[in-house]
Amino acid sequence: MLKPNQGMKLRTLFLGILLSFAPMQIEAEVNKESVNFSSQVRITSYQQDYDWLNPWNKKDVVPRSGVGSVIRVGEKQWMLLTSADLVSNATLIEAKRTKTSLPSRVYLKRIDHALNLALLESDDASFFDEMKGLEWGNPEKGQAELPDLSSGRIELMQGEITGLTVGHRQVRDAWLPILQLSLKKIPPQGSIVLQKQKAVGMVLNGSQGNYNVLPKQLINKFLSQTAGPDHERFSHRGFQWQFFAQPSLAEYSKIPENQEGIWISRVLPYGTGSEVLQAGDYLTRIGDWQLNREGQIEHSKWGNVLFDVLFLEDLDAGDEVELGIYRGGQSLNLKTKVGTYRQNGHRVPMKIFGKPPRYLIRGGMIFQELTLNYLEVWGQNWENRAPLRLRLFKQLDLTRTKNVSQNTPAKHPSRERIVILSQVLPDVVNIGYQELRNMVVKKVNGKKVVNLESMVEALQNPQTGFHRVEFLPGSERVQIVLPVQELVSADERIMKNFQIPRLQSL
Amino acid sequence: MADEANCGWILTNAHVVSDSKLLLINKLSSPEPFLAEVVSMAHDSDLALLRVKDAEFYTDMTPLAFGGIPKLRSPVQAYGYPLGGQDLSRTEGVVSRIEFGTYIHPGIDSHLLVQTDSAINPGNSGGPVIQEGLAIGVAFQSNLRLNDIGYFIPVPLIKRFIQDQRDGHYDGVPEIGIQTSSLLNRYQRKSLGLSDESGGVLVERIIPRSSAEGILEEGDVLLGVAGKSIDRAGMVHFGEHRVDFFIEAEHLQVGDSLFFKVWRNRSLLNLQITLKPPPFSAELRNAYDILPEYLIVGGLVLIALNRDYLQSEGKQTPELSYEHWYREIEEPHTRREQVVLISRVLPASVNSGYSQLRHFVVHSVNGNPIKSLRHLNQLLENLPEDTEHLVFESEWEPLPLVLNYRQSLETHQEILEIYGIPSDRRFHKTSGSEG
Repeated sequence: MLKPNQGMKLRTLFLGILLSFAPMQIEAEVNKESVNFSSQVRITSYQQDYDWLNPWNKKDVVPRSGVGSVIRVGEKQWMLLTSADLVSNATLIEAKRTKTSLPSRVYLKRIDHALNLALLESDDASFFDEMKGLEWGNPEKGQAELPDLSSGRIELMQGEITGLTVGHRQVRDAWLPILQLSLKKIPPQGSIVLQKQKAVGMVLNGSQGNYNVLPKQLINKFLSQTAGPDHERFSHRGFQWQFFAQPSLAEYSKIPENQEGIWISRVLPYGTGSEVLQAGDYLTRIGDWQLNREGQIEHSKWGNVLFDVLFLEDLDAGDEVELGIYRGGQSLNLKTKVGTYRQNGHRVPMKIFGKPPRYLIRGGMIFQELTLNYLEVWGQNWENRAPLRLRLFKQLDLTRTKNVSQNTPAKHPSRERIVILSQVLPDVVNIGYQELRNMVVKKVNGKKVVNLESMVEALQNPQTGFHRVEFLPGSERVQIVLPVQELVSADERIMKNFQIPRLQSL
Repeated sequence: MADEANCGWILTNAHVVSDSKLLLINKLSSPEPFLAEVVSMAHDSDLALLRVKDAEFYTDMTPLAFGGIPKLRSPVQAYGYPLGGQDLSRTEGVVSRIEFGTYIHPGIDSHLLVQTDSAINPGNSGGPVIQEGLAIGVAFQSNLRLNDIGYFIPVPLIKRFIQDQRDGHYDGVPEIGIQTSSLLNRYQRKSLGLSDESGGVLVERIIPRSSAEGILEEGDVLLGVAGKSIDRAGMVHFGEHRVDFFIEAEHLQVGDSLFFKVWRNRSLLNLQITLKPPPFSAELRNAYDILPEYLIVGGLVLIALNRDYLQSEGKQTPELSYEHWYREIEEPHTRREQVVLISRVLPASVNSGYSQLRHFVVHSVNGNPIKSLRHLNQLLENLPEDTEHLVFESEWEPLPLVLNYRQSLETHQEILEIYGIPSDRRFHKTSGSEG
């Protein structure tokens, strides 16, 4: 299969370890009055993830620690900025101004998992007394420093910003311009990166001396955002692409021999170019920037970099931009506006954070929507270990290009999902079905099931005295029936027997 | 072992003699190996018949006679050469159970097998399992995850094989061609209008082109087969055992009839089906004794997807898994005879830029949908004179794979020579089928 070349590079870049506090070490004595030190606090959170196998349960509580930075929001309001990883699914978040001070409870105000950023607020008016907000500066290649609170003293870790690249966080379809930081020590989660005493980014992840840093410009976008995460956010490309190295394909497509550019392999339902590009177009130019065959441009500040870097400061959402393409042997200039990232309407959604699993239990049958979170019940290696049919839904979700309706990406996020019977809680009502697992539901009572809501609706209209659930052909069993009358008492019995607080969570 | 008709046949497992280049048989009484040949091979039931040309081999040999299905807990002896060795080894055990199970050699077929706690190890394969002087089976596989578990092929399947191949052609174990599910749930029985005491299994899928197609229907309840009652777990009485009702087709031949008692739309029917070989294509089964077919065009190596390919290291991509296992079931109208793919590329200037390409499923060439590797070959041989490009398209790839047609013809021989490939294609006389 052809793969975009950036996929390979970036996957290796982002296999970072989780960050933790570094051991004590003095790097340099610094001014205690410095803005950047009176902006730093220690954060401890207690995270409790949902149990996607038993969706009514939560897992063990895990304490995590990191740092937060004081920032000023609006005229008078103060908040703490930290990483989403540190505080997602937290049952309690505490902040301490010094190593020895008493912890103060803080609350999650806003979180963005694509950017890995979170804003925390305190209801203790005195918490921010004598604290100073971060001052922001623009990142550039060269020396960088990170405040280190681990020893209790005020220290700086020395590092260097070596360049700008493109990658994604846990939300894998959000491609971000990301600074590369070379650093000997291990920075805590939420660490701020300083250049010339000004904050230029926040550490995302990394390992072994190489860290990825979210640039200040994206942090500022997050801070100025007022709407929720489902709304338009940062500037983003509106297509997927493949790099070009096939002379015969160029010849067939009547593209001049020396014309560099990239192939548009898929147009996304959002982002820059999504309105005007078509799969199969050959993109040669974005604005004034010429693309080479590997999707790189020559940037005045960052050198030879992937074109997504333009979305950091050169192309702002709403700006007019011209795209130079070849289509059907013709050279065309397409005018469009810079678009932004939006969560995509995948049938198997990207990883879900901070939301409980949706489920429906009837007659001991646990129905869920297929999610990446559910597939990860089989571990990080789910792509090899999860049941084949289920993982194919995820793996092929965006691969197939023809004859499949879900492939035409909707302009608005779709609520179409794969509903599965994940497991059966044994009861006399479901004798004969107890061993069924991980089967895809097609229809209930004759109605097509596209998500849990449509299933609930179909269950309200049985055509006989029995509910009929039909599964994908090839499943271990293609249909089951449940008695309408007896189901109420059976459900009560099952709730009691298996200690299930609610029969559904939608 | 030898056949009762004194043909001097030697019975063994198909997996013992598959892909063999030289076949030698040793007798206990002589150090001299005898040259043997395969008379008939049944990959589906892992059985093979051999013959030794040299008549001297048969002097002082006594053919074994067949017994029947052994009783549970009855003692059996397995003979063979576990891990090789010079002397015949004999192990003893009892019959633990008799049930349907997967035959590992074909990979996809499930037949009756007898489980014993007599040690059956590599080297026992093809050896007889004896009870009271009669052969009651051929030892053939074990389960590495369990201790003291060995399996042998019971007599009905062996006799069926011997009978099947007598006309010089092996048709295979016939298959009913349906997917059924149990009716253990009383509400499900009730919803079908069956009494609480009723047995029977629900027909959930009719496999296209199978024996059952056109006669049985989805939603039918099979209450009986060949005069026996089918219980609600799908079992029938078989001697003192209860085994899967498919057993009733196991000892029959292709072309034989099988009778079903069917509950359809709340009334009883008696239906007759004529048995056919399994409806699935040969690509779904492990392949033996047959080198893979291929075609090379412009350095692209084209093959038909099969089970062996999919199960070799690193080949199980999501796209190939879907094509192999699910397309036919979920989108039967889009099924093609074979799934043709470019398995790899022999790097050359004609295919520059495609050298890293793997597993490109070809759905059309120059706009023509591809049905099979042969079909693709025919298309290529009948391309119009003025063809400029070969355009391979795939449902899984956003961009086509394009070659310059003239260049592919001009460099064809050179590519084969550079990569030391004697022929640009391999097609067998009868594609796919065994026997």
